[in-house]
Amino acid sequence: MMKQTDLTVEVEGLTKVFRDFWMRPRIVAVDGISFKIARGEVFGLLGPNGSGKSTTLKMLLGLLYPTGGRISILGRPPQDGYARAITGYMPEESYLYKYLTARETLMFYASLFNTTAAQRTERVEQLLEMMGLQHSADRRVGEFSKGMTRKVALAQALINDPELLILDEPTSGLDPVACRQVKDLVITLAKRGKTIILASHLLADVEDICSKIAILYDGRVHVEGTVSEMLQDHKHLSITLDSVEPAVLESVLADIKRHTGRRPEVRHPAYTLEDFFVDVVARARNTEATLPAGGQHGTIASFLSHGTEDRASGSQGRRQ
Amino acid sequence: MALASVQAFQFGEDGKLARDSCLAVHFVFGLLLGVYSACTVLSDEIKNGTASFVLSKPVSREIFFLSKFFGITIVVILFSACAIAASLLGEHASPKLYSSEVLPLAALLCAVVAALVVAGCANYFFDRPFPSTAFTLLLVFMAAAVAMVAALHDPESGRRIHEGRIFMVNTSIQWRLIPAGLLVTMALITLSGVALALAGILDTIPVLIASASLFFAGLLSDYIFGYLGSGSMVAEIGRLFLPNWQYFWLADALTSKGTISASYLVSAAAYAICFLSAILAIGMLLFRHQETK
Amino acid sequence: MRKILAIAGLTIRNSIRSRIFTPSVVLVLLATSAFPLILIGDGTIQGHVRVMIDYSIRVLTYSLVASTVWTAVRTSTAEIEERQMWLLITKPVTTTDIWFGKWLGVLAMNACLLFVAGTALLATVKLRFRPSKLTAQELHVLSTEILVARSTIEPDCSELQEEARQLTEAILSRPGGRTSSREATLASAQSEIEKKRNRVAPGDSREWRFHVDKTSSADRSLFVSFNISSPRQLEMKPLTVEWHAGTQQNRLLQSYRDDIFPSERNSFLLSSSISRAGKDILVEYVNAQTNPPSTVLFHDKTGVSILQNTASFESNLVRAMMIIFCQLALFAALGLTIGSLFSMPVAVFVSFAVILIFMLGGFISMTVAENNSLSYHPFPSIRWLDPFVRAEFRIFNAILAPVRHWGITANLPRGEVIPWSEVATAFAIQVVALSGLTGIVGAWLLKKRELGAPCEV
Repeated sequence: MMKQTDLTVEVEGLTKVFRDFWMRPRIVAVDGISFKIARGEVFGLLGPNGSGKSTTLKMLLGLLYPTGGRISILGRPPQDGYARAITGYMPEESYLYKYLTARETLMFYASLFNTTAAQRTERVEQLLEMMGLQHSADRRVGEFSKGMTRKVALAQALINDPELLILDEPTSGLDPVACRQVKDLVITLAKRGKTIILASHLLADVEDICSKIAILYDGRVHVEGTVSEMLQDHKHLSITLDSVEPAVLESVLADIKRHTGRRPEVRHPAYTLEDFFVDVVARARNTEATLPAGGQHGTIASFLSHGTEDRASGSQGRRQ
Repeated sequence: MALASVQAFQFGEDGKLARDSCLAVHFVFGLLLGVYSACTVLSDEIKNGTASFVLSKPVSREIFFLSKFFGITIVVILFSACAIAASLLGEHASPKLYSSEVLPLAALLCAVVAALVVAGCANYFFDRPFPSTAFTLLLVFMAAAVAMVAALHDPESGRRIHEGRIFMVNTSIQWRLIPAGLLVTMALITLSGVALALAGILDTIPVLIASASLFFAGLLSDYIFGYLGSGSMVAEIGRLFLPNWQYFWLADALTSKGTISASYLVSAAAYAICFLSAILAIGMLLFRHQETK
Repeated sequence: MRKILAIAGLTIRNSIRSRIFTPSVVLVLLATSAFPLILIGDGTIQGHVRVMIDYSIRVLTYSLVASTVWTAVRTSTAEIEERQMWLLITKPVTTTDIWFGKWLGVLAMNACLLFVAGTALLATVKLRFRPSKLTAQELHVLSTEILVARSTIEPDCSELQEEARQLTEAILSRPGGRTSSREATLASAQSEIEKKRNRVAPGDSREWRFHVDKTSSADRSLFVSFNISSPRQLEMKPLTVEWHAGTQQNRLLQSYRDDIFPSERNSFLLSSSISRAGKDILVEYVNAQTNPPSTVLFHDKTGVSILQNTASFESNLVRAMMIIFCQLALFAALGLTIGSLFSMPVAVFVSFAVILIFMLGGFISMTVAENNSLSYHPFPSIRWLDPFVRAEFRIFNAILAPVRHWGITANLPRGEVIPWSEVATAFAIQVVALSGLTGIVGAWLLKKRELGAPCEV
């Protein structure tokens, strides 16, 4: 049983009905959903288009007001100043001020929190370096590619070192290397005790990093639970071993057949395409002198990662 | 337009201030409408990238540009129809000879209210979009109001009797306002063409400011070029490129029962068409080289 | 406060970089530098300068009102429609911070624009009417009568009021005399007596008494300003006027005689001996028009007054710009609040409609003052609406009264002082009270609005 103090987000009987001008109910976007998210959990919110994921996130952020039910963020309503001070939000599209430079954007959002000027400057520079935008920091956001604006959007969500991070399609528009970095960052933050809510259509990403998921359909939660429990196929076994001599393999297979009556299937495990891509880019980076257009990604900002051993690079830090 | 019915000052002639006010409001708000529409349909579409979707199909830039212009023209014409009907009713209701007609004012206000109410009902019961339905109904009801007021006026008798007392009556609907309104409409269409030409290459704000500046400069063009002197080359070139909006502003011609002749309308239309052709050609040329997202 | 300033800075930066500010600067420069150069007056130096300043201020004011409303509306609607507001509202800032930050940003830009405008207008006037282009007489008129700021001293009317009071008592004490209220009878009596006194037949004279503050008048020029009508103006011929000025001890310290055109406002300089002499100044007009004789009529409210140079034109210009600034602050507040409620083109049209209603303030106050009603309407069936209509007009008048302050900028071209008290009143009412109230409403509307709701198609 989770203690109240362990809970970051508590949603109970949440309902949202969109009405027309005449106040007639038109669309039931969210219908009585409930879930609890503990500290340090990476919670995935999944569902097809129109299932109510974005509506739920907007209610958590105070952008929409629930028709019914209750939301609590560390014991406070979403519109509360404290709740907003500890929350970071990255929307599905990067709704940034296109006439500001990347640095100005981050400095502006930093100034809305209770931080000193020195803290703001330090964090902004670290985030720019982490996102590989240090060479584009003085260019206007309107001139950026989609991937670069997504990085700025993520950076502004992290500027206050939030306790609760809400990410809506965080890897959309990012190249695989940046995707890996985002996932590593999420894992690092979770290890620091931060809570992350992630809404995404990219199931592979969700599977990699989420500890718990809820699948929504038609405004209701149909399945909720930990990833490992839900995805394990208890009817089958897979055994991983280093390459052996064919004769040894044959002997083992014959033995299994003798006991089970069936010869098991044998094949070599495969890397994911993402691992392979990241590996190729890492090797190319080590040999080439020029920087790619988006800049070289740096290590995770120290104000986000202090207190953990992990440092994200290459294929390390992935959730098992 | 309803405000025309409560004005007490006349400038020495019944209905003059009402006529001038109605035509001025028609001009200014039509200018806002036309210029803003031009910015929305072209400048914003280029900025947002939606123009690229259309231009990636087998649609030439010229056809795209001209179709935008015709769309704006239709909007301006429909607005002007509404404005002219309101002007007719407003002027008819304005105080004359120390009394005023209640019927045209009531008809004007009822037409507006009825259009809004019916559009609201259509939205409630049939999910029809409110803005377009309201605008369409407004046109219909305004036309009906004008027809009703014209039909109920008794041209034979110069008196109205109410509750046993005799009152002075106003003259009939001033149909001569229609040509004045048509001239204003031509000016608005021309201005919209200018705004559209600029919207192909500039952002919304610069287009608005440039159009407004052109509007004021055009109003003052006689004065400005007269100031420069009759033989001045600058004045001659300026007259060529700066449209003289005074050709389209003939409110003063309606003084003392004056009318605007059909031949003047035709020549003003020819001036507008010539200027529009030139400005649209320039606009198409500029748009041809404009990069879209 | 840091958050409000951050949002204000953001508003300014966005406006400059999105090319809203630069066209406004160009517009301001056109209104105050280019436009005045093509104006011509009535052939006199006074007329030319006054027309130039008057028209420039009007064009500047209307341009800035339009650009302020547009900028304010655009600032709020654009962020809501383009959803930058989502990232802002999910930070620990209140809607009040957001609203006042944007408002301050717009005000800061307006302050810059007005500074540019004032400087450009002053430079244009000084350049256009530089000493090398004027005669000595024109230069003198310019420096003493036009590019000045003068306060008006009205004549003492205690005697007139006493006479009116006595007449009122006499009327009311007559049998059947109480047909109107006491106030209405007194006002009517006062008006009648004033009209009678303001009519000066050939050979007659009329005297006015002015109480002038000796200490403030000692170093300042005093002018007698008068506005009269005469049948001579129909013939477009000049009228001979004769004035005597003095004090209680010596009524004939100065005599002034001139031929003037009655349709214009005229003035003459009082001698320094009178300015320094004492508290009470007596000014007498003698109708010296003899060939042919002509009755002269002094205008009721603006017939005679003493003008005293109290400040410089430059300081008066600064005050005029501050009055305009206060007005623009209110319109910016309106634009931001309306932008919190409606989407872009609707918000602009609603804002301009509200401004149009503000501009009808003069008509509404006149209707209230003249106590117009539907009582005399030919159709009695609607007379029952009368009390409601009159009450409605009174409410409108009360709401619009503070907004009519900007009419005081018309003092600038007339060379009349805009007092600091007017600036302070305009600031207190329009900037602090009305804009503050509008801001509270705007912030509340923004808070109530569901910013995450899907856009209507």
